[in-house]
Amino acid sequence: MGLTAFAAIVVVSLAAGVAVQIFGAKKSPYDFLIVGLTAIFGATFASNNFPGSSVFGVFKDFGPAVDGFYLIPGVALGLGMAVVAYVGTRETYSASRDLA
Amino acid sequence: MKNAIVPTDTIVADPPLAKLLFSDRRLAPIWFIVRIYVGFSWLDAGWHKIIDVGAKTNYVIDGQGIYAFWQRIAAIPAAPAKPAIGYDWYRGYIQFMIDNHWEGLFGKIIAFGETAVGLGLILGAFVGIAAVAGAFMNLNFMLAGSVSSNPILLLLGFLLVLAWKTAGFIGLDRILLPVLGTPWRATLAAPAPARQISAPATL
Repeated sequence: MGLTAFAAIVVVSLAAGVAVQIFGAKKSPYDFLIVGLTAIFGATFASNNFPGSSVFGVFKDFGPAVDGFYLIPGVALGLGMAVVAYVGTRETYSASRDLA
Repeated sequence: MKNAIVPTDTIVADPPLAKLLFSDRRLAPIWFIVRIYVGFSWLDAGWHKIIDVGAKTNYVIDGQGIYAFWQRIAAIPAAPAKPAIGYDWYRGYIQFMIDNHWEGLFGKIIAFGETAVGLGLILGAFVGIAAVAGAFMNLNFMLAGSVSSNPILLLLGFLLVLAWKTAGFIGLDRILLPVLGTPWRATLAAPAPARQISAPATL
């Protein structure tokens, strides 16, 4: 993956994170980081590791690639991880108590 | 002397940094990312072994793949070349398995074990147990002379073990651990009462 593609992933992911931070319901102070970092990792990891892996060996074509970034697996895992992390952390910042 | 109050609490509290890193649910997204990375590495390695049906390379049919690997690493080359295994006791262990033809059993254990560890980490199910199992396999692969990605996976596995309470919070452990009565059950332990011990009268 080229530097241009990675920079685009970072910009788009953080922009999505900021949008969630502004418009999301049940906000936490770090929604932009939660969404941004998980989306960056998911997109980069899927594009780099899914093509050629034994797990996805049945897929012969991973779709279009831009500057070495496979759009379909990258967007799918980036979006999927960001949604899971966002939903999974909705209660993290509610009134907490020390369970220790 | 007046009665001395001796606390009965024997638990050493973690420092704030350790609490933040390994017990704070706010860092669950970080562990989620680590889990996906380590888990997919294990899943890819395990699934590759499961679907391999080659006569000389399979792990799950008759284990010829692991048998060939064992023979290769147990061999002692002529000097000055060094053997793949640095510890004699580990080479003896590998040679014992070769001599007793344990490849059929261990091939299946390794292939399905790696896959199970990968699925557990990705889904966030019993993350601590999965990470321990993964780290144990990393350790064995490194003892067998295979470096590759094992050091990084071992380090990340250790960190996941330390963070077992929160690493699966974005995952199935969020449901599984409370069912088992572990950290997220919302019961607050009452502080243990301090025990009063009378000091000897002669002091």
